[in-house]
Amino acid sequence: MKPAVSKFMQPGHDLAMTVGEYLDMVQMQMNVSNTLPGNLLDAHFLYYSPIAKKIRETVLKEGFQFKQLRDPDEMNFFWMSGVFVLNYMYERRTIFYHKNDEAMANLVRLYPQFRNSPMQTVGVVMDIPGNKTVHEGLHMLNFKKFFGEKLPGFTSDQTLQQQGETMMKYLVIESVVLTVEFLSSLVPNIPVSRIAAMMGCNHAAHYPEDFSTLLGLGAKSHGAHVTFEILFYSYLGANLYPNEERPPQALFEKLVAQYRDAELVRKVLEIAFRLSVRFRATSNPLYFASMGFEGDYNSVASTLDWDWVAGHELTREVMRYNYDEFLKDTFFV
Amino acid sequence: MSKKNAVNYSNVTSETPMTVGDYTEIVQMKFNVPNVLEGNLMDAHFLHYSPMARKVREVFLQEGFRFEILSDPAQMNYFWMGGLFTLVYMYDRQTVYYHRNSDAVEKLLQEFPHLRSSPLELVVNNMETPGNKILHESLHFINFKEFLGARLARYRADMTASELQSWILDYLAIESVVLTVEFLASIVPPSQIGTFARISSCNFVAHYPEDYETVLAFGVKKNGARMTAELMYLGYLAANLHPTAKECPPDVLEFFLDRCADAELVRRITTRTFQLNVNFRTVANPVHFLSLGFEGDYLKVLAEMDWKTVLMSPQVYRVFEFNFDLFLKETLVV
Repeated sequence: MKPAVSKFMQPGHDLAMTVGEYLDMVQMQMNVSNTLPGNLLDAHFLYYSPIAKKIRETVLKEGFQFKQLRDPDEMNFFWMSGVFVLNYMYERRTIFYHKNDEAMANLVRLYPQFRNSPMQTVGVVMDIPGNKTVHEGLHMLNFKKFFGEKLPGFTSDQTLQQQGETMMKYLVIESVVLTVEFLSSLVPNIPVSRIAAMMGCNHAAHYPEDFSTLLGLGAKSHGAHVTFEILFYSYLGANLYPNEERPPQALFEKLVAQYRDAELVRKVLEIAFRLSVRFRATSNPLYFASMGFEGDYNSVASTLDWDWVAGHELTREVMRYNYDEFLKDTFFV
Repeated sequence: MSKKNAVNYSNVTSETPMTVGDYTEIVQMKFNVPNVLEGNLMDAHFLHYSPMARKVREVFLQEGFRFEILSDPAQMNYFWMGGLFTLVYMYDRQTVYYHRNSDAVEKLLQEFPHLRSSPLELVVNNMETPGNKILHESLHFINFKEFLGARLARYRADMTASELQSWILDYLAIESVVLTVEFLASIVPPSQIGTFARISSCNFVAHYPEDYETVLAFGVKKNGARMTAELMYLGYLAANLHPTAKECPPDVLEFFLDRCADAELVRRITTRTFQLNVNFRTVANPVHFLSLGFEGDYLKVLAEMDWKTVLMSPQVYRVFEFNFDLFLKETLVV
């Protein structure tokens, strides 16, 4: 739930429009089900992204609920707690979200002159958060499927190997969440859909380069399943090599040997390794610390051998579940 | 008061690495100072250590302004998302609103007790606890009232070119003096408590030890409080008038050297003031004026201003004298 509007300034997101045009876009009605009141561009994202639509449907079917933040204490907790809210939500089987659909409209009510101003200028000095309901929804579903009611934690009497196995499970799930989320952001190249995807996702595909990598080089040439696998393994690599800014050569070679398309592998690895090192190297260990891990993350993480993790039965099950559930019928060129 | 102003603990004066548990003990310490704001992280700590902050608080309340903790959900959303647009909103209501942020870490520990023994820096830098920049906003209010009246002057289409320049200058002079007093107020004893208190209370804080040395040893001790504060104020104003400059331009440096014989002090202070974020000067400032009704080319107006005349103008000096007399004269001492 990080500020999202500043993504207007990112490469591939040169969406020139006035605040007025943006507001007209926000108010468009889209005919889709299961939309969340108050969540900015929610209906738009579900309308343009069949993957997001399917995730929403599954989250609700599995008994999770969405709740708009209204209680002041809870609002404060969600605004201030950064990476720590995920487990809080899972324990309550509830995805909390901010009412963010009126932020710009409220501002224009106070300052009508903004209506004609460039969205990039006004939006970038605001702090409108995206509600990452796709990301959180995928976490909930995978936690339920692979962990059950209670999330596994860490205790001091566990061996290094036991702790490593638990970490591995979380990292595999994190990697598949990133993969499916990223693919769900491949929406038609029109401002309404791309802004909707940015607001709905933590990691959204950049247009046009990521689109041509995943759809052209990937899905069109190798099919949806192979593209999904390469992206998943790339994110898994980014999580297993948390201090690497660039994809390690050995990982590149392993994936090229497996998929025999060096250009596609190189480009997909680059997408995954955009995942911030700060996040991988500090937020992940902290997340484990919040669940009782007291050791040195790097020394445990270094026991997570690539071949062991990539070939693990759980990894294959996680891949199978997510592909079959969310991508098989939705991800194609 | 925005997430962009999240408390950044990376420049804490490090003595020994602290755990989250150590930090919560500091947060809970009691200080015997008046006018403390309930729910504002380390408010009493900062007032205890900073006589300037104490004085600003006292004057703010004397002037009839008030503080209000955010508790209405719609208003909370506006304040979380409104970024820099909240200042005018607050002044229209004569009220500085603030977030309850004093128990953010404690609340986190209630949910995740394991984090108590984790390194503080790691945990708090992965949170998004906002600083309530109470001192900064209070100084704006006091100066707005003194120089601009009860309601902020909006742009008028019939302004002449010189009226427009004067209108913009009013705001830039106030912004510059607010930055100056805030920066100087953040020079508190370099203990961990003092450091935490100021970084949770100020937009711009003096870095230890280099800024302390500049202000205290090279500035106040050698050249006096007035010269030090004046250089800093004019340095910030010069930075605002040259919004794209990351370093002090040579002609501006020369102007300052004509006013102060201590070249080292001039060099140090202008270097620091021109570190004022360029994005803030070139994007946020124009949007602020846009919110006040000015839709023209802000950077062009600045380029047409004679900065030297501006820096020597009575309009600019009045702002400095008012703030120096009220907040600095008796407190900026070595």
